[in-house]
This record gives sequence, structure tokens and C-alpha cells, in this order.
Amino acid sequence: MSFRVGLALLKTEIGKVWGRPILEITVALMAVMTLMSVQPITEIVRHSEFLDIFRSAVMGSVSATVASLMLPWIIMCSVLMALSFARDYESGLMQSILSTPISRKMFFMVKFFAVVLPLVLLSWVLTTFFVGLTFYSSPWLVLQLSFYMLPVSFLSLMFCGGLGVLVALVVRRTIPAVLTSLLANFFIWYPTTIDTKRALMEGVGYANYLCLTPHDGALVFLDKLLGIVPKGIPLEIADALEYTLPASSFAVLLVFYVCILVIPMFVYFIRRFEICD
Amino acid sequence: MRLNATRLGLILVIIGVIMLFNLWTVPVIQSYKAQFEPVDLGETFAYGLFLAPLGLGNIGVESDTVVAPKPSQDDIDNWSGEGSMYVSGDVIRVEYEAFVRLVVVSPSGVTLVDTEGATPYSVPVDFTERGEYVLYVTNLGNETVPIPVSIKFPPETGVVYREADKFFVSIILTASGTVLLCIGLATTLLTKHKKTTNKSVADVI
Repeated sequence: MSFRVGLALLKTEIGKVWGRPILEITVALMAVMTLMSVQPITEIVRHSEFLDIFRSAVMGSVSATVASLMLPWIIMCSVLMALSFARDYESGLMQSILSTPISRKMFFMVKFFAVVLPLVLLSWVLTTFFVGLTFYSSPWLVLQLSFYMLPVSFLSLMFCGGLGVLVALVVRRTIPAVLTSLLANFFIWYPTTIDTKRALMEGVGYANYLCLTPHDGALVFLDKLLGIVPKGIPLEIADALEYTLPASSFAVLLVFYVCILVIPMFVYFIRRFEICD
Repeated sequence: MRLNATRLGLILVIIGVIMLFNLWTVPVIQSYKAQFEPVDLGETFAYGLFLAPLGLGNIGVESDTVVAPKPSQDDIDNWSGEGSMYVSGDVIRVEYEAFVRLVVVSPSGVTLVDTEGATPYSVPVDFTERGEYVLYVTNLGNETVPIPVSIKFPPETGVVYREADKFFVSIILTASGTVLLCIGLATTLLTKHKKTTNKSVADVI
């Protein structure tokens, strides 16, 4: 019974959050960023090495696409999550719904996953489509490699969403919550734009720890999952954390980031959050 | 979230238009050259060329190669002993003549070109498929030489080179999206008109 109620609630919440023109704007933003990262390929190689180089090209394409999709993720996830919680609180809808037999636990999970799950699915579909358009001579390889982005995008979006919920529950006003959530997520995303290899070679002190930030760590995790081996790494930076830590370390790190944000927010919402001012 | 014909059509149109715009603005590589190890007499070397269906281009068998300069005593003295060595001086361009047989096989296994000649020469090839074109070069001359190959899409012909398959997909998306959008809008208008008519009849009664 509660599962059916939860599903019905999820369906309604998805319809509310992703109403026109939100889905259209998200698709447009993601399509623009994806197409910018998938470039035409012309390469002459030894015929005997072609399959390996082709596989590397597909892996590189998937990695570059996910890196470019990260900014639309962050924008849409932070805005929609803040809107979803803060607007419902401000308009009194949250109070009305929670006065019904629907539990706070279900309410929180429905609102949270109504934003995260469609974004994960949309990112995966667009990545597979656009990478597949360039490499459709090996469709199974494209599909296999694109599956690796699912856990990465899910964890990354859970973190973004958690931050959005934190801001929304603290600020409790729609526009300030949206702006603050956007800024906070953008600030955490920014380290992914820094060229870590160059920074390490120039001896920048913090460059070694950039890979431990949530979004940069997610991209490094994806590269390790895909099996991308960085080439041309000078000896003096070969022992940097980004190159020495295994994929499992980054997986644990991402799960840790999600847990320290989402679980406390969940517990706070179901036990302590005052729905009346 | 109701994904009716109107919304689906709009999404397809958005993706199609963005793809069309991207195809029109992204530059296509004009020329590309590669060479590997020298080919012995009578031996065949196979190149793999990954290419999109860009239309008519030229595959060339070249007759020049570049050779790295030898390190000087200063370069050796300045080298730390680990990693790569910096070599001062310009690369040396060497020209030669070779008699080469060129065979080009498309990704679907069709032989597009089978020709012999003295380097340098180029042959026109119509690239209609996406995938690996295999270039077999056989050294029919009398000395071991590297045989560079090149791919060229001359800009001066006035032809616009675009990836034909992606262009086709973007046209299909845009067209089907437009049709769906129009169907959705027409259905919505008709439904609204019917409701308004029924309401007026009910009011009268």
C-alpha cells in the first residue's frame, strides 16, 4: 500500500517538477554541452592497433561528455531541489501534505528522487545517443562504456541534491534558496575546470588534493572505471594522488560525501524540521 | 510529467536544431598525414583511417619524410640522464621517390582504390561510410623507405564538408519533431474547441 502511494506521489512530483518548460530547457542545455565535447575524429593509425585506439577514443569521448554535462547537472539539480523544498514550504503546500497520513520519510524521498533520477536518466540517454552517433560502428561498446557513467552521475547528483536540500531547509525562502544553492554548487564544481597536471607541474601546493573534491573526484573515478590511463605524465608528478589512488578509493570518497550530506538532512527533516514558522 | 506529442515534438526539434547548428559551425579537418616505420621491398604496410562520411576527398601517398636531428655534444652534456632529451636543431626533411601500390578498402569491405604509381600521387576517394578505411601500401621499388599517407579535403573546391550521417539524423529529428509538434498543437486546439462548443450547448439547455 505505502509503496503504491509512494509511486503515485513520485509520479505527481515528477510531473510537477519537470513541467513545461523545465524538461525542454534541461534537454537543450545538456544537448549543447554534449555536442561541444563530441568532436569529429580523423585519425590515421597502424591497422593492427586500430581496435585499441578506437576503444580509447570511445572511452575519451564518454569521459569528455560527462565532464561537460556536469555544469548543466549542477545548475538544474541545485535549482530544482531548492525550488522543490523551499517553494513548497513557503507556499504552505508542505504543511498541507504533511498533515495527511503521508510520512515525512516518504515525502523527503519522493521530493529528492523526483529531481535526481530523471537527471541521471536524461544524462545517460543523451551521452549514449551523442557518443553513439560518432561511434555507431561499435554500438555495444558504446553502450557498455556509457553504463559506467550511471553510478558516477548518480553519486554526483546525490551530492548536489543534498547541498540543495540543506540550503532550502536553512533558508526556507524560494529565490534566496535557489541562488544560494546555485552558488554553493558552482563553487564546489569550479575545481574541475583547473588543469591538474599543469598545476602539479608548476608546483601548486593544493593541486594534489583537487581530485579529492566531490565533482573532480567523480570525474577521476569515471576515468578509472573506463580504464583511461593518463599518458605523458612526468616522473616528478607520477606519485600524485590522482594517479596513484585506485578507483575504489574514489568510490568510497564519493559515497562518503553523499552520506555526510544526505543522511543528516534526511534525519533532520524527519525528526526535527519545524514545518510551521 | 505528461510527455504528450507537443512536448515530445518540441524536444526533438530542440535536439535536431542544436545538432544542425553544431554541424554547420564545427570545422572539419582539411588534411592529415601520418607515417610509421619504413616498409621493406615487396612488403605491405596497413594503415587504419577512421573517418566520418565527409564526401569526396583525396588519399595521397607522399614522398617526403622528416628525420629528427642527431643530438649534439651540448645536448648530451645537458641531459640529466632520465626521461627525454632535448635536441637542439631543426628537423631534416628528406625527399625520395618510390614505386608504391595503394589499395583502399572501405569499412564494409569494398575495395575502393587499387592503383600503382611513383610517389607522390593522390587518388580521389568518395567517403560515404563512417568507420575504418584500411590503406594497404606495398613497396614495389628498390629500396626500403617510409611511405607516408595523407588524407586531404581541399578547401578551394567550394564544397562544404559535413558529416553526412549526422546531418541526416538531425534533419530527421527536426522534421519528425515539427510534425509531432503540429499534431500535438492541432489536437490541443481541437479538444479545446470541442469543450467550448459542448459548454455553450450545455449553457443553452
